[in-house]
Amino acid sequence: MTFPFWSLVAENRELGLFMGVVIGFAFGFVLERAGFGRAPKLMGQFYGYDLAVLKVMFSAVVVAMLGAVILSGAGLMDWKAVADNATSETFLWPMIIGGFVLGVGFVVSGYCPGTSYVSLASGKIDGLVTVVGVTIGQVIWASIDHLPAIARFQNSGNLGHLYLWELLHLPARVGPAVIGLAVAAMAIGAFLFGERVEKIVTKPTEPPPAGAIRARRAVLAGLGAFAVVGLAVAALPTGTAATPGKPLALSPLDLARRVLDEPWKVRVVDIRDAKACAERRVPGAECVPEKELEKLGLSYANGARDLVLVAAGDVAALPAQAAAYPGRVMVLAGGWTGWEAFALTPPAPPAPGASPDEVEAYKLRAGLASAMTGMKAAPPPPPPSAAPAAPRKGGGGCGG
Amino acid sequence: MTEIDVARHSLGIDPQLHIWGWEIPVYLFLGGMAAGAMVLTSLLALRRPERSPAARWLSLAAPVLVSVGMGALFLDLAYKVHVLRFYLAFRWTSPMSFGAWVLVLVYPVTLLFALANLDDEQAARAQALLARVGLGSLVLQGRVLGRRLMPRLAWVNLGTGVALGVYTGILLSTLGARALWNSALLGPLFLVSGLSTGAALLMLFPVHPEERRFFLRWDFLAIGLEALLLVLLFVGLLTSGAEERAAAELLLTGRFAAEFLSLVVVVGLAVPLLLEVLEARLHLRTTLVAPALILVGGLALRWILVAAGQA
Repeated sequence: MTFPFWSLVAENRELGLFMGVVIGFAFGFVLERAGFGRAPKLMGQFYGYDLAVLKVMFSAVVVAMLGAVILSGAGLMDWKAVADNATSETFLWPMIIGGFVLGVGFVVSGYCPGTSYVSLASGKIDGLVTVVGVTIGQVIWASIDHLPAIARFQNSGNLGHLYLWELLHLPARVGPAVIGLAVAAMAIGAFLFGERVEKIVTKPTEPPPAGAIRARRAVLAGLGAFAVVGLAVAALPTGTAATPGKPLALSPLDLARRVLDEPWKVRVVDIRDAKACAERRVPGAECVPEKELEKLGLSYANGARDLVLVAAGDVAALPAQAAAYPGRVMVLAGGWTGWEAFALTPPAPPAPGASPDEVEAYKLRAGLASAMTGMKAAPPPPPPSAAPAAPRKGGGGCGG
Repeated sequence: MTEIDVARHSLGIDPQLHIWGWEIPVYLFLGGMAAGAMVLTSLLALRRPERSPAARWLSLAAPVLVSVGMGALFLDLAYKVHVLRFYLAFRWTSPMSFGAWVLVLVYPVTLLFALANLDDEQAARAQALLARVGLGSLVLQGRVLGRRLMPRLAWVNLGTGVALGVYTGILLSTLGARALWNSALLGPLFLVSGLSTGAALLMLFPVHPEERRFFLRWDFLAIGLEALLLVLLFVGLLTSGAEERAAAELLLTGRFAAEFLSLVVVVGLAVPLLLEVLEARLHLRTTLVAPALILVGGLALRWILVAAGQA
């Protein structure tokens, strides 16, 4: 997730990249100051004498999860959309094998990719060696992953975007909250388990200082309170955009802007009957009646473009084929009727003395209507065919 | 683009808008770094007669950097032979002519200064090395001459360094039709940026901790001034006409925003400054990260300004 939220919008891509760099530096800095750039600290996980990394990473995962849930509840972000667009799909076998390979590298080097950069920045040679090794591995993989056998393996076992509650067949209403609760409980359990293991392995002779105990209590209490708020929000009914089943409406103005400004980012499918669509349609729309949507194979299509459905009127529920589209699915609010009334009808000019805002709105709509109707206007009649000119004497060339 | 669209757009006058490739930013970067190294090694020589061997050798950095930079500049010339014409005339109002002569002046000044700075053992090694090509006695004579001129030579070296640093900036700002470059602030901006990259270069080598602190203090000053001048540059551009505003927005919100804000502001200024402050305050072990980031930021500043000025 990238903060602030408006940096996530496609128009603010530059800002999003910049925020990524800032967050990356801040993350690396915190890791370094926490001592995660030192291999012995990381190897403590495997020997059990220092489980700080386990505790930190698990609490970070839970904080991020709950933060996303709370912000979605507040309407600031849409965790389902972020999860669907920003995370990888599940490729079962490649991920299992890749996980093992990464784990071996982790044990051998003592670093994961992020901490290897941190240790490199702290001036450690083993960090440098790890970074170079990771880079060489990536280059080798990138140069062989097009080979047929490897490509087949890399794309095998694609289960799409999987959510734990779907795997466990929990109802969509409460599933996320239940899983969230379980993960938060698991994190707190891991925290306590880590402390216990450390105590058993290191056998401390003197009790920890009072400050450390207080800090530990504060951390656990904070995490618990955060979890309660997050789960309460997740369990509350909210109207976030990607609630399954309820289609996202796009106003005619927004559709017109997208069709005119960035037609490559939107795929418009007209699901009225073929005849009506053939007569007039939104520029660039594909005519596919609702019954024939199956033929488009939307569930296998590339989800990079937003899919916009145009029906005759409003759409109550998304057709199943369209709902299976991997990208964002929207419907045109008001359907074709709304489009005709908005984009194909020239607006009435504002009365004299109208406010600048009204004039501005009128200009925008009039421009849209003329662009839309101009595009769809009947072609001008062909020029009348004149009598064929008399053949030129003297042949061609420049001699005419 | 915008300013030329507005003012004049004729293929007869500007057949191509983007005419400077990688050579110019690389040259400006190396030239600026050489200028910074000249200024700082002179200041160090004036301040501390006793210096570490690394700091003494580093007086040689400037001529090496300038040579590599001039190599890049030479590659950019469409008619390589015409390089001679720079030296058949001197027009002090033309930054290119001014710069060509400054670059010539850099060689004798920096070489004499470097020889004067070498201690006996280093001078013997340099002499032995150059004796293979029959120039051994030149080292000896140069060193004697340099030492005789010494306090004054350091000041001359410093002045030449400042001239070189300013020249790398005004080279761009004379092309007034390009709104982004049309600012008198580019000269000082490139000078302080060069000072910062020069200090970063010197800090990459195993100099004495006391000398490192000296470079670090100058680096603080240079980074602070660079940030101030960048702010002033943008204030100037944003409060001017539409073309200048468009040029500033190219860097702040437009096509080059991600590169400029990330590489120049974060990587080149904010993070190294933070790291250096923490290093100084918390007495952390020094690493090469902050100097390396400053060098990346210095190259990015020139690269982005040259590219955005032609966009």
